[in-house]
Amino acid sequence: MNLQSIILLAIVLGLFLVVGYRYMRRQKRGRSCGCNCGGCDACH
Amino acid sequence: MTLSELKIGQTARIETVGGEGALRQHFLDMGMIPGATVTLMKFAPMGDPMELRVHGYELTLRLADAKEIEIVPLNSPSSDDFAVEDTLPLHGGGWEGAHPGLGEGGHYHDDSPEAHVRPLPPQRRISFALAGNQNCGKTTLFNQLTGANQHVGNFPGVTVEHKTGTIKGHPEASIIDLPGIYSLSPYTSEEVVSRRYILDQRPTAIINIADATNIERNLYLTLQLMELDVPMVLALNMMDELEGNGGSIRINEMEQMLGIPVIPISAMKNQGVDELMDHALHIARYQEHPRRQDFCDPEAHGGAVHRCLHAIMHLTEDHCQRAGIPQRFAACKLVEGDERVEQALALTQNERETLEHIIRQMEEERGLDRQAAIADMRFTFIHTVCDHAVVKPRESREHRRSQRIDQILTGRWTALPSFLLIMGAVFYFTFCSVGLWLQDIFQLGIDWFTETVDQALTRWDIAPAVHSLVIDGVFSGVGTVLVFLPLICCLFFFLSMLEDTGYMARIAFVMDKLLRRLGLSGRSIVPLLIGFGCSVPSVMASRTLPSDRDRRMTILLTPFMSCTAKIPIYVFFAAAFFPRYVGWVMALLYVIGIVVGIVVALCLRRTLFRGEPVPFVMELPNYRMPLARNVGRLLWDKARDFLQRAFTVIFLASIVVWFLQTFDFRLSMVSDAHDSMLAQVAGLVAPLFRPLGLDDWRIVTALVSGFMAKETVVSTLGSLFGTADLTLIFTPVVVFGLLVFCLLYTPCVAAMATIRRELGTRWAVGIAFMQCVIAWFVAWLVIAVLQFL
Repeated sequence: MNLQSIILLAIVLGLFLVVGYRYMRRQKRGRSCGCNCGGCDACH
Repeated sequence: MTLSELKIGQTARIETVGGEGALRQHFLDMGMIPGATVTLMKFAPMGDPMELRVHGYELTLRLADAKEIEIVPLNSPSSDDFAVEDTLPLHGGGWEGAHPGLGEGGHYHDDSPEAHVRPLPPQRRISFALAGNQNCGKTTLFNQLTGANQHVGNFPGVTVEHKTGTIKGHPEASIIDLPGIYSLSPYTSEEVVSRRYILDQRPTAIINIADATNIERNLYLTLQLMELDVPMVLALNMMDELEGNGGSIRINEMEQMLGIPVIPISAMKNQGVDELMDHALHIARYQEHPRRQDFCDPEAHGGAVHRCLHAIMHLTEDHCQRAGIPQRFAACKLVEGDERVEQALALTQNERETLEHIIRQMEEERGLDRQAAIADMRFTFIHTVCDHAVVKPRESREHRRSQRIDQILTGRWTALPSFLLIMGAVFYFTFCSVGLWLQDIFQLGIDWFTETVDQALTRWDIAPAVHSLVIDGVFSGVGTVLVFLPLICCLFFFLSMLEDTGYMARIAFVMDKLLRRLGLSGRSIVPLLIGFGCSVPSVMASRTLPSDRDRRMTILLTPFMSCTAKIPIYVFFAAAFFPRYVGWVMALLYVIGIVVGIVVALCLRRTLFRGEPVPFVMELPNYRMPLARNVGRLLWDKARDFLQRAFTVIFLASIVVWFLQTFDFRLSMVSDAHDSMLAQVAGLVAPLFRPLGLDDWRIVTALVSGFMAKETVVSTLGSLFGTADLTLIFTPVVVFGLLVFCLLYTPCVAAMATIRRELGTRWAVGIAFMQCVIAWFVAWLVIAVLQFL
């Protein structure tokens, strides 16, 4: 695997981990349904 | 004669109000008190409910409830209506006194011992409660004060939960936007939420917002809030509309009579808001309590109500102090028979008996029952204030316009065709015209971008596994779903237009009789219509329904209304299998959802939810032109939410699905996806779908991923099938069965979380299971019927 492939893989996996961590944390907090309807605190 | 026998255009005086419990209290709180005059405006197209004019506003009521109200017909129109002449004096009329200067600094500030001013410590944070009737502009004012972007609508009950924000320029002060309420009697769950907040959380001060164009009914809540003995300021909203129609309010006089600062504002135009905040901060910092809490006239009717209330205040003084409940408020609530207050005060048996004797004596002397006597006392005081301080406007331009529009939109023969036409137009423009056109443009952009990245990756000689991850995983997953952004924005745009114009409230009025046959009330139509957008706000919107039975039933039926997240699934398959009939297939699916919902509702009505739906008492707001800013804000919110989901849940799911379908359990790349981890696991569940002809592991995987978010069904299918021609794998009949299954099976995790929050875990799990069973059965039935045909 060449360098550019490794960099691209690192970017995608990094994004995956960051987004996943944030998503799990939000779910765990249980405050946001994620729908942005204004019904919960975390959306606004 | 009862109210149900009144003819259109006829006016009558209310003699007695029958019924019992919370509903009767609600009638009284809405101004349906003995002595009030009502005019019958019209009947709903199906003959029920009726629209009445009382205290200068329109109210809807079912005929069955109207039968409980005894009336005496009058020959002349109601004096509560609009002013006939527009030449009434704006000033003068008896008020010669000085500016009361309540809630103001400088020489108006009174810190003498008699004023009982107890300033807060300088560092103490200030919390305001924003309270007012439904649809009087609370959220608009909240947005002005905090700079927030809360959604506002022209429908009673847009705010269903309280929201907090910090006031711009005053970091030490926060404000909480309470749901709209008509009184402090616990009739709806919103009223319970608001009352509990004010009584238990004890805000530093209350900002009471009132609709100046409908002042009588709004002041009813003001008086009850004043009884709570919390520093308070009254904001008279929509003053521009009132003055534009020749009306006026003598602010000084009203301020003097009420004993609280009164500020004229226009929340929409941001007029008077700074002055309001100056006064609100002043009364909060110096803890200036309302100067008047006593609204009973010692001279009226021999002082029966006055003596009764004051006797109870003396009787319960020690209990009130122990329970931390204001005396005047407690006395009024005890007379009204409020059980929560009675329990909180923990009165002895002897005291309860004394209380009963005092109230019975009052009823005898006053000639009215207890609840009616208290409501009458408040409305009498309000009429005195209004007679002195309010110059009623002519019939407003907005009202005249609303009447004209209503002749068609709620007319006997035109209401239902109009409803069908409007909803048809909404779906046509969304799925066949503007939405589809925008979607094509979006699709071109995404295709171009994917191709460019694909070529770039090939040029950079990226390893095949990483190339596949980016293109087959991320781009095909997220890209497939992003294409549907225009369609979803379009549908939300139209739904918000329906709500902002005020038409949604009319739909509730028109559809009440029909929905009652299903065991629901007309108000349930709003959550159900919002359900076509997204189930989450729809479940939340069911909070405006006053009874638990109606709420539960509405929430249970919401998932049958196909949400926008399912559109990608329909379009994806319809375009592949029924390219010439995409619109028809979509319409058919929506109809199937509604029909199954109706059948389930009828079954539930006879089993789980026996009994009658709650009465339909609702206010019909004037039609208003939706504000571009408001609609734009809602669209941006929805688009942002969709993009957020596309780049979080769907992004994550796409990568997980790609990983599971690209590798086997030994973590080596597979050449045929059938050997992948995903195929092995999904193969275990697939036999359940054999009778439907859907036992393909890829379909099962897509359906399972749909639990996270419905859009992921398409992205998963996109990455699992790749460029394969679906028409060679499935027959149109099986695909239609699949679409029906997708339409009806368990709602997404966000919707389930909301249902769980509203109804509890047991209900949420039950609903998910029930939906899956119904979906399987209906899909099987549809396939069987289509194959037979």
